[in-house]
Order: sequence, then C-alpha cells, then structure tokens
Amino acid sequence: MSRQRNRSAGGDRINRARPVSFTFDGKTYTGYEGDTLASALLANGVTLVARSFKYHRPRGVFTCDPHEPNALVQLHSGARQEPNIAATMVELYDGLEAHSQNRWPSLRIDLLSVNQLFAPFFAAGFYYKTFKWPAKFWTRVYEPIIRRAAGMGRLSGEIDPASYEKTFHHCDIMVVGGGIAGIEAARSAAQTGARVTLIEEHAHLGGHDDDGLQQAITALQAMENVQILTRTMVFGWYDSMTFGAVEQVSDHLKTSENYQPRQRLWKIVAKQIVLATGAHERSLIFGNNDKPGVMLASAVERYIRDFGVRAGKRAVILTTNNSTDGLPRLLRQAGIELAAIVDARKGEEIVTVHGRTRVKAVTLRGPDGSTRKLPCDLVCVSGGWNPAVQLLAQRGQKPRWSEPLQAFLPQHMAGDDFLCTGSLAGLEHRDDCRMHADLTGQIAAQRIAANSPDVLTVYTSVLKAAEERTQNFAYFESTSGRSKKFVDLQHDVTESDIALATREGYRSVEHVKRYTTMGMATDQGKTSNVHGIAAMSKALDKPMGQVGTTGFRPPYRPVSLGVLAGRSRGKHWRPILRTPLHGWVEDKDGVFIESGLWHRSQYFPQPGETMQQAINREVLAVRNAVGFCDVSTLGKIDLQGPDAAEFLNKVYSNGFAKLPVGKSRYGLMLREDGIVMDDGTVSRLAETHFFVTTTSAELESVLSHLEYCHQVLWPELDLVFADVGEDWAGIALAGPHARDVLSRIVDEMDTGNDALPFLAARTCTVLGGIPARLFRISFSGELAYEIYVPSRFGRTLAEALELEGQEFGISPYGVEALDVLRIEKGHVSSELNKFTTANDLGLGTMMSTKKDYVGRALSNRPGLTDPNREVVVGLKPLDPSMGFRQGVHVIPKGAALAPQNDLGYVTSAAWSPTLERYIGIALVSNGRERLGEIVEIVDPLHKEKPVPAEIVSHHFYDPENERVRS
Amino acid sequence: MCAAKAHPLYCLDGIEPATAAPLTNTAGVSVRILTGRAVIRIMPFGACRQAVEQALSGFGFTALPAPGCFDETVGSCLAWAGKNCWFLIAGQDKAEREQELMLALDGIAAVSNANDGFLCLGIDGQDARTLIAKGCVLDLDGLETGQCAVTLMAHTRVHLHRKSPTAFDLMVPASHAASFWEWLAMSAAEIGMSVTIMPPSRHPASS
Repeated sequence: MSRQRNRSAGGDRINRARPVSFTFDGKTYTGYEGDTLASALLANGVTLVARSFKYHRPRGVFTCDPHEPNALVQLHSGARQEPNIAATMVELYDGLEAHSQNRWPSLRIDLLSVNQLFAPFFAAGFYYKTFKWPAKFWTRVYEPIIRRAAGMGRLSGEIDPASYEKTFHHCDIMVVGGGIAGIEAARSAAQTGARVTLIEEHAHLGGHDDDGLQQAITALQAMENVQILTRTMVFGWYDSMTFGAVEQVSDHLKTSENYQPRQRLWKIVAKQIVLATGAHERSLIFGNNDKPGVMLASAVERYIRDFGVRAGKRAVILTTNNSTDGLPRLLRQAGIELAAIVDARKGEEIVTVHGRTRVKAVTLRGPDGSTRKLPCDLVCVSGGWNPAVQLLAQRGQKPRWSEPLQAFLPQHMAGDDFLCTGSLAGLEHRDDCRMHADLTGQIAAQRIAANSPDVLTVYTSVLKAAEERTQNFAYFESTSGRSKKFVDLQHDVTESDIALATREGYRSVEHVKRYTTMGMATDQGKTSNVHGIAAMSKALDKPMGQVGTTGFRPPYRPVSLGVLAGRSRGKHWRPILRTPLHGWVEDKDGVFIESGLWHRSQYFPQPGETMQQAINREVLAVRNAVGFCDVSTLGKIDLQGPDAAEFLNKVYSNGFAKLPVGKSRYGLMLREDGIVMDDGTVSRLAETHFFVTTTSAELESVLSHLEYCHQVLWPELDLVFADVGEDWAGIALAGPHARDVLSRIVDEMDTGNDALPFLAARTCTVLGGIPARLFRISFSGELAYEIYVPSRFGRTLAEALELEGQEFGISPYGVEALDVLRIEKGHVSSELNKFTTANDLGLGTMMSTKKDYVGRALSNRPGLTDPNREVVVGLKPLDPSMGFRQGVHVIPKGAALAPQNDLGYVTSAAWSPTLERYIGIALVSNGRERLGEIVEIVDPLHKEKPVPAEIVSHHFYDPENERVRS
Repeated sequence: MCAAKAHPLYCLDGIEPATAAPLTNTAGVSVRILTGRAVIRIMPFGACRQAVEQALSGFGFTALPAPGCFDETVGSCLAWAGKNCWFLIAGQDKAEREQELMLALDGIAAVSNANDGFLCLGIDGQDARTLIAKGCVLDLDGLETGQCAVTLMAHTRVHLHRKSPTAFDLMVPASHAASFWEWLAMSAAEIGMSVTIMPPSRHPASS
C-alpha cells in the first residue's frame, strides 16, 4: 500500500472520506471515490503507465480525456479481461485490477524496447517494403512476430460474462456534449417543452470547467422533459437522424447492481441535434515530447482542480495561446513550482526533454537562439484547440480550415436538422458560448414547434464575429535536434515519417494516414492529426485547408463488440420458432433440428437407437402401419371473397376456378419470370372460402407475392386473405392404417373411401368437439390425411393419435423420415431451388394451356424451354449399399472429373429402408433422355470414390399412385 | 368449445412464467399473461366497410377504428390490426361470439378465429415504457392511449396497444412466444417484473 504523495488541496470530484484500494501491475495503491485510474496513479506518483505501440518507449498519462493516446491499460483478468482502456476514463472502485500492456517482462524493464535501436529501419511503410518474400512467411512468420512485438493488449479468449442491453430512444432535440454550451442549449430548448436529451461522455456534466454551472445543471435535472445521459458516448450519426450511443451503466462499479448490464446500446432518433462537442487540446512537436511528465496543459489543470492531484513538482509551461493563462496560479495553489513559461508567440521553444522513464529536465531555446537546460519533472503543453468536428464530419461534411482560429471548423455550422455551438463552433470565451448556446437551443426548439424555416442571422453573425476578432498564433513548428519528435503518440508516428511519406509520393492525407498509420489508433489522432496535416502542408507546400482532414467514420471512439452484439449471442443470437407440438415433442424425447427459425422434430429415438435406426423405423411404420408428423410449420393462408377462386386461378399455373367445394388440389405457383416459386395445396371450404398451404420456408414470399398480385395486378378482384399459420396446429397422419386411426378421433363422420376420397377437404370436429379441418392429401405416397386443429389443441390431438393408434403400431415421425418418404415417392422439395421450371421438375402438365396466369408468358422463353436443361431424374447406385450426399455432381461414366463433363447435381439423397438401398433425386441435363444411362456420382470436395449409378425415374415408390387412393 | 383438454398456454410449454419473477427487490412492471382471450379477425370485403360497421354496432362499436387506433366497450376491444384488418378482442373466448359475428358479417367480411395465434400480455407499471422501449423502435411518446401499432419487437412482429400512460397490451405470435418471453424476462431483469397468469374470467379486454 502506498501513500498518495501527490495529493494537493482541492479536488471537486473526489470524496476524501471514501478511500478505495486498487492494483496496478499487481501492486496495491489507494485512491479516493471519484478518482479515475489515471488521477489515482498520478496521486501515487506513478508516472510510467504504458509502453508505446512500436518502439516500446515509456509513456505516462497525457490527457484527462477519453482520447488518451498513451495511458492505455488492461482491466480485470480472466474472462472479464479487457485491453486498451484509457486510464483517464476508468472510474476507480474498490478492488479495481489494472495492468500495463504491450511490455515484456515488465513495464519498467521492457526488453522489447530494443525496437528503439532499430528505429531507423522502422520508418513509415516499413512493413510494406520489407516483408515481401517468401510469400508464405507473411502469415506464418512475419505477421505473428510483428503482432507480438508491436501490439496492444490481449483478450482472454474466454466468453465475456458481462451482460449488455439495448434500447431505443426518441427525442425532439438531442444535445451532444454536457459542457457549458451543451447545458445552456439543452436548458433553453427544454424551456419550450421540447423533449430534450442531453448526452455527456464523462460521469459529470460541466465539461472542462463547471464553475458557476451547478445551478443550471440542477435546473436541468429537475425538468421532466429532459433526459440526461452521462457516461454515454454518441459514437455514430447514421441516416435519418439515427444515432448510436453507448452508456457505461456499471463499468464504474465493482459488480453491477440489481442485474444492471455492463453497458447499454442506445439507438436514438432525434428530430434536431445540437452539437456541443467542444474541442480537444493539441500538443506541440519537440524532442522527446512523449516522455512521461509531458502532459496537456488542460489535463494538468483538471487533475489539480477536479482530483486534487499534482502531476509533478516543478513545471514548465509550453504554450501558443491564452488558454494557459490561469495555469500558473493553479500550479502555485497546488504546490507545484513553476520553473518557466515558454511562450512560442515570443519565439521561445523547447528543444528537447531529458530523462529516461520520466521528465528530468528540458532544454529551452530563447528568441535569441540561446539554449539552457532547466530541471523539471512536468511539461504542460498547449498547442491550441481542435474543435471536435468528428461526429458532424461522419455525415460527409469536410471540415474547413480557419486561419484566424488556426483550427478546422465545421464546413457548415447549421443544417436543416443540426446546429453547432460552443467550442465546436469556434467560440473561445465562456460568455460567447453561453449566449450562443442559449440562442441555439431556442432555434432548435422553434424548429420543433413551428416546423418552419428559421432565421439564422443572429446565430451565424455571432460565430462570424467571434471568428473575425480571433487571431490565434499559427505555430506548427518543430525544433531541430536528433531526439524523436512525435506527431502521433499512440502509433509512434514521427514528423520524419510524414516527411518520408510525402517524399515517396503520397499527396493525399488519406494515403499518408494509411501509409504512416497516423491517426489510426484508438484515439483516432484527436490530439495529433492537425500537426500531421501541418507537416504535410509544409512538405507539400500546400495550405492547411488544401491538405484537409481525413474522413471520419463511426465509431467516434472505440466501442466494445459486446455492446453491439447485445444479447444476440449464443442461443439468443436469433429468435426461435416453436410449433404447438413443441412441448409434446420434448416430452417424447424427440430430437429437434433447426429449419430456418423453426425448431422442428427431427426424429424420435427409442432407447439404444441411432439416428439412422430411428429414421428407418419411422419410415417403415408409415409404409407398413401408420405414423404421424407435425406439419404445423407449413404456411397457412385463409383466403375469402367473391373473387377468391378467380384470383387463385390467375396466381397458380394450374386451374382453380372449377375446384369443387370440399376438394383440395396441389397447386404450383410461378414467379413472373417463369421460374417455380412455391408449391402447396389449395382447399375449397366454401364457395368463397379457401385454405391455402405453402412450404414452410416460402410463406412470407408467397404472402408478399399475393399482396402484389392483389394490390397491383388485379385490384378489382374482391377478396381478402390472412396469414393464419399461427392459429392452426397441423398433423399429417399417414400409412395403411391411417383411416382406422382417423375414424377413432373424428366426431360422427364417415371416413370411408367413398365419403372421404383422395383430395377431399372437410371442416369437422374431432375428439368431441374440437373444430378441425381435414384434408386427404399425401406427401408420403401413402393413404394420408392432414388434420388441422386450433393450436391450443395440437398437443391434445397428438396425444389422442398416439393413444388411438397404439393398436395399429403408430409411431410419430420427424422431418428426416418425412424427407425419406417423399424422396421414395419422388415428390420434389429441395428441387424448388429458384432456378427450376415446372417442366424441369416434371410438373409441366400443371401449366395450364387454357388460361393465363402469373409466369406463363416468360415460362416459354428459349432459355427455359431448352431441351438440354437440367431436369429431375432418379439415381440408383449400382451397388445399393453405396451412399452419396446431396450436392454432389453427376458425370458420364468414365469421364474425367472436370467442369465440362458435369451433367448435373444431386438435390436429394437418402437411404431408403423401404427399398433397402440408397436412392437420390438429381437435376441432370437432358435427364429424361438419359433414363437407363449409367453415370458416376462424384464428390471431389470430399475426395470420395465415384459411385456408379443408373439414371431412373424419380418415382421410386408406387409409381402408379395407387396407395394414396386406397 | 369442447370437452377435450386444451392447452391455452401451449406456446410457453416448458417455461414457468410465474417463476420469472422479480429478480430485483422491487417490480417495476407487472406482466399479466392473458389466457383464453377471444381474438376474432375481421376483414371486410371490397365495398362492404359501411355494412360491416353497421353490423358491428350490434356489438357496441360504431365504426371500424382508423389505422393505428382501437376502441373499447365494456368487455370488448376493436383494434386495427393491419391493412383492411381488425381484431375484435373479448375477455373470454366464447364460441357463440364468433358464431354471432360470422352470421352478422356473412358475405360482407372474412371472419376467422385468431385466438390461438397469439400470446397476449398486459404490461403495466412505472417502468413499462422503459421495458417496451428495449425492443420497440417506435416513439412511444407518439403512441398515445387508445393507439396501437403492428411493429417489430425483439425481432418479432407484435401488436402493441397503449392502454394507459403506464400500460401496454402485447399480442405476440404464438410460435415466437417462448423466444419472446425469454427476451422479456431478461430485459426486465434490471427493472424487476412480477408475473400473473390471468384466467379468462379475470381480464376483460377493456381492463
């Protein structure tokens, strides 16, 4: 445990009555509630916090902000381990565990700092120039070594145990930035009654200096129409005024309270946005400007004022502007000796910083060129301020260079749905900010209330006047000397790297960024980019404005992948759909399979059975006795109206106008381009009432197609239709004893072949009054029925069938057996693959020649009637025991395994327990002319032995179709 | 309806909703699972809207609600449910009611029973809005009492009715119900949720 030897008076944010202990690299320290990890480390005299990305140079805390380039740490351990977190944003709690990263074996003695010796070789573009050969070394040797030597922290590789939430939020006006301008804009906007959301990424409102703001903050917090989100960062501005924001809900707590998530993703829709994102202080370029102890002046000030921490004992201020005017007084108050003020405006500069792991002294050069070495341990740097244009620029707005301000400003300060204010808008004085923000809030509120064009004359004149009266000092010089002068601290990019890139021909700032990696790290160059642009400007002899900035994209600063994924991971990664029989299947120990979003019963194993044995048993039960299967996933559409029959007649390729009441018919639906869209059944329950089934997968597309046909093609037809799939549980009952079982469950109904023939459709009741729809249709090739009951009775029906069918050897069967049964019968299913025509599928006779229907015209185009098209055939391996997979290819016997010999591919394959052999259905070019031809089934992907097979009719079982009519 | 055993909460088979119960000390929302509701789908044919409205006057409704709205009478609610589609929702599933409606609307509208197609939930409490907002992209301030929407929530198409500033009714497709329930229970973890399964006689639609 160490003392907090660098505590001074003050510290508005900390509670000295609540000490907390934490560890850094295994050593225990004490801080106070309200501290950040950075402030607590500085309070304890810890100045060496990290090693740099490439050269492993010692680094300390540089800012007091989220865009900290140096002090990145790894938090926690085990599964919660999280790398690359800015110590400046980590709120301290008891037991916090932090580690330095990118060093070996320790932070103080980092052997990888040997990289500094090779610095001359590690210039910009080093990777691209060096690791060219041998090619296979790149992924196996070079990349692993480079990643090991030049990297950031590491993930644990374990599953993140934290929870993340997501929420949607709407507001009239969103104010981004909770500094003086944001608070004032939110207050004035909210006074009109508008719904205002104020978002601030720090834990507290007030920004850099909250003096005199407490009253306004309290007033704002009391307003019911204002929502304040602190610890929340708006990371992206997307289309239609949609924003992404991340709230750190419990990151600042040791453990989350009351099941709160770690972070919450906010998807915000705002009508107006007020950008009060402030400005970032920038550094200056001088020798060894990265040593621990070199800090932004505003950071030194805030550590004293907010946390009661002095970052050093003897300071030198290096400045180019007036924002440091109050710093000397604050330093004195904190007990920090002011060794010198180096004012660049007077021609003074720091040549270099001395010290190994922290600042020991600086060499100064005066206006007359004389130099002197001055002992100190803190260098407070202010090179001016960069308005935080990044969020606005995400919308494609290129910032413009302001000569008076010596900064990039938004190209447009206002648009139809946004307004800029505060430091972002170039205002440098508190009173200007307050006045302009107040006006901005009013304008935003007027836009909401009046929804009319606003007058921005005063708004813009204030900004223009402020810009015109400002004459900031242009200073982007770097001192001479051999010490390294860093532009981008986080990626170790020096001024010479940028100069080299321009010498090598890079002219665009985007290219230089990527070649040198300037501004590509977690801080995205917020403290450094302008100096990089200045270096380019100098090297290319182009004005700053012409060099311009790079583009800005979301996220504004790093966002954890966990919060983006939210709860959509593991079993929750997408919703699952369950049929009304799901619970019954579970009770029967049925195995489920995912089929799209559906969880369907795959098979029902009995003790000791393999999957194949279970499937075989289920198939044979249907063939020899009776089985039943959950078909609730089929799409079900209720279609009614005086013109319903005519509509169906136009939609399907086969005729429905004359379908009698009480009859079902298999229907084939084409797309407009003549390709098969879906198949299913249509049953006429009454003169104007039809019940349509679709395949499970195509319900949505069929519904959409029907809407199109009704709304666009034939709006004059009077009918309505609804998706009733959720309302009905469906069970297929199939097998020679299906009628016996059916007769035991229906109420007072003749189930004989004459009364209920093949393709009969009835509404009836079952099991003593359950309303039901009964269709004698078959997918298995056996005597079969589909029975639909209200979903709440699905389980009841299944239980009754099982009970009543016991005498006949009934067995439930799953989708695997269902598939085998239909392959044996030669029914097409997976062959409807969005490429096949009715003729390809052997269903050409279902294309009526007596009427018009969707898809008719284009189904006759040459490409779809080519005799060499791939059409459905059956495949029988010559050796019945030789199996093959769906998807494998068919080539002529003895032909070379080459694309030009490809005849087609297998669309369905199965072991047929009925035929006791493997069988398959394939799409084969000119297949019907090849019946009897011996071919080879080849599987080059799995390098399996070719299977010789005969091309046969795909109707393997009961080709005369007698059993379904029995 | 019949003597055979019905499973009104079949869509939550294997889930014990009542034990989902408040994870925190206080329940910010109370969730009522409304079993046995009658939900009857009404879709008027071509030019029959006026005739349908006239027929519905016998059931206490003077007009078909405008898109995005619902009307309530004692014991019943008539809610817009999509293009040319309305739901008549009654607290109890009475076969007679459906038969009466079918007779009254014969030839002028398609009537079908949608009772079993939905898991009906009533969500009430100070944090109800917060809970709904976790999955619903709509501006809930703009969805006022008496208004409804067919929208996406947690990847599921739901019918959302605003019953009061702090109360919502949800109709979730039955096949999505289990998945949606898991989402709801997890979303309510930080809020606290109490769950009641309401038998049919205890929840008139216009509660």
